[in-house]
Amino acid sequence: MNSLKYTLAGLLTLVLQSTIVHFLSIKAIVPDLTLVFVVYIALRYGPLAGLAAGFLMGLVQDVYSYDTLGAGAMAKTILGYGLGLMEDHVVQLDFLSKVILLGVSFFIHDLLFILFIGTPSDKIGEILISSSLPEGLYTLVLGAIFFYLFPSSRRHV
Amino acid sequence: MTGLLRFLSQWCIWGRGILPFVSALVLCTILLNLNQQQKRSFFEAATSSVLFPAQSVVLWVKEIKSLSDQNIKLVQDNARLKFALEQRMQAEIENLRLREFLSFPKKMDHPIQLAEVVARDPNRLHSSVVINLGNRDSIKKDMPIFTAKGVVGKISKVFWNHSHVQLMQALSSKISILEKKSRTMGILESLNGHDLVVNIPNHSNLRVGDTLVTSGFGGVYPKGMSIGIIEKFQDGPIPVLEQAFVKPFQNPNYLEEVFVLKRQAIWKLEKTNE
Repeated sequence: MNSLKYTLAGLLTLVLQSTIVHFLSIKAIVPDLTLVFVVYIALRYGPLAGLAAGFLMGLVQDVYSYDTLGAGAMAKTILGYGLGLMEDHVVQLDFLSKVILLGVSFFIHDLLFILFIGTPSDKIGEILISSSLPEGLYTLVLGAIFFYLFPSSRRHV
Repeated sequence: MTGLLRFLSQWCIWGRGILPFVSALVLCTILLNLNQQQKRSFFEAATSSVLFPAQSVVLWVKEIKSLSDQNIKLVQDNARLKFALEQRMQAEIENLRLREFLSFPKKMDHPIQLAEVVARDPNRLHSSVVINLGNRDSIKKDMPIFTAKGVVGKISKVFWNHSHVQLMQALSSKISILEKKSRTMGILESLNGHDLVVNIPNHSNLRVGDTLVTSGFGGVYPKGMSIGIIEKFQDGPIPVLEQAFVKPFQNPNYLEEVFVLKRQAIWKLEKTNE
């Protein structure tokens, strides 16, 4: 039942990300709801669920980017699995730790994605500062609201 | 069957799921290394069967809600456009007369078709949108996309009932432009997926507020389509160049309807003629 619920939630997140989220942009800065979803699932349900959420979310997102097929899936898979493992070890993550983890995850995700698509090294810093930083902060704010509204307890699948 | 399921669940759980993790990474690596034709097949299957219908439904619901508002706006626009059309017809007659007088060659006209933006690329670093026109509407790759305000991008992939549009803000996009008054030329490119920049010589005397249009040199966009204005300057990659940041007339985040200029790239026309 839970799997079905979260599959539907994941689909809804993807549809929102590709339709309505761009209307929430502030000076071309858009949040990444799919990443919030992957982080939430990984922290709540552990490495396997994080891996599945990351891989599927990334793969569906990749479908839109002809020449980067696989890069988003790989970045989100690593992130989902890694975060899931963390939850396995850390006793209990409080609200603030989760928000900080989301911020760190955002940068790691962008860095991995940029590296996987083969961006020239002189552009990486520029992209991280001018694109990832503001978008990361925006995502952080939305993620914080989400984590506050849906606090998770430790449970693994 | 039960044995297989038990085996699969044990395989997943073993070593904190390291085996599925490695399998997923291998699959991603395979996808990254597919050739263009294989990627295209993957896209066609995924976008046409899953994503496009799902997003169309969401937009359809949204569309119904805004239909009433649109109707009122359209009635007002209709009245205003009728007046504008009258004025344009007068100007066209005058233009023809002047062209004849100056022996200017007549510009080739191309049909324009209205399209609706039905989805966006959910990846933040890859700027593209999906429109509801495709092969069945005679849409071809590299056709320019624009709005009443200015250039939006070009068609990058065409499917049966929809097409992908590569926005000007895409990292791989490059457009040949010129400044309206000084006729200074340059290549417009994306700095980071959002900001548009042109590298121009230091001595070009361009100023903030100058208007940029397409030069027509790339072969994709016809000459004179509005791009945007220069917003600020910054030091270029080498000392003799400076970087002009361009604010596009059309904000890519507020795209709902766009026009497709049904014009094939010049090099493609030449190839067909050969």
